[in-house]
Amino acid sequence: MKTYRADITILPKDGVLDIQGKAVEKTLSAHGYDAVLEVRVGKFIRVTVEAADHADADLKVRTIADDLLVNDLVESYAFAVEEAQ
Amino acid sequence: MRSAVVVFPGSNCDRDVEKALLYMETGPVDMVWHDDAAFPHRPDLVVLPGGFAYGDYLRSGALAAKSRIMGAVRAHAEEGGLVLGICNGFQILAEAGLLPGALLPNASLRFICRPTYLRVENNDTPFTCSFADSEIVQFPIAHHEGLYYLPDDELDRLERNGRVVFRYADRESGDAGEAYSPNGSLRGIAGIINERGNVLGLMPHPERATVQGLIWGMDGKGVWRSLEEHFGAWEGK
Repeated sequence: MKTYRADITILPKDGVLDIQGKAVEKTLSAHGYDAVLEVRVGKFIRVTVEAADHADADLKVRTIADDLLVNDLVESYAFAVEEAQ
Repeated sequence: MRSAVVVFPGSNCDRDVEKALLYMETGPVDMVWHDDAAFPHRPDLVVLPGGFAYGDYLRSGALAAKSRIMGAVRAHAEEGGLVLGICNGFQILAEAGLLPGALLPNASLRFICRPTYLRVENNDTPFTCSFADSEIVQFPIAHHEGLYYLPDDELDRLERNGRVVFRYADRESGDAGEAYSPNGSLRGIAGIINERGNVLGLMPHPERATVQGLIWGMDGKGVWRSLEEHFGAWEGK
């Protein structure tokens, strides 16, 4: 078995009200950052797993994300798996 | 009526619910630890109380929804047993998939603790049968994540099937809806019931408006009275 590290990014789904993102966006705009078009605030989770290979690690991470880490009604996610060490 | 109140690490309304049930003399109340696999006695009513189970880590209710007792809660609900989720309990039921939707952070991004007025939108449930149709009641809220969210088409379906049970309302006019949501809750939704009609979740706290002498009034008594009436009829009293 090998050790893999997954970096998971979770964001509010498009269309779901992201109140934190809106608040940050307004503050930036009030401070003159005119270039900012949109801000969305989410979460970042790093998970280390044991797996046979890259594909196995990928499947394991996807399974726990779907089961617990992400509420797919309101959140979407993406992740990248890398072998650790 | 025998009640079971689930105690999660971080629950802080479990004793309030116990006190309200004992005050109403509804029958024995078992306090059940979240890590137990089963209820000590077969309950008629299971209550998931308010609080901050597991510190609200990850998402409110997400970790509690995976705790061991939830297997027994799910089985109880599948057999038609009554389940009442209040505040954090509602968030747990939503995360467990026993109720549709999600509770998002309040539109103000603030924790809100204050009395609210609600309109009883469906009094044909075991939890609300003692209320009059469209009765306005006062229950307090105390939460940071109470904005009820469900995609529009699913909200339409929920409404069509009479599954919105409590809606935030104006005391004087009796109007209810999103304009009266203290937390931005879509369509003013404060409480919903499942399709089968045996699992209710609501953000406001009826147990904080039950015992005489508290500042929130006593309209919450109607919930416990409804449950008693429901079981009274059932037992042929």
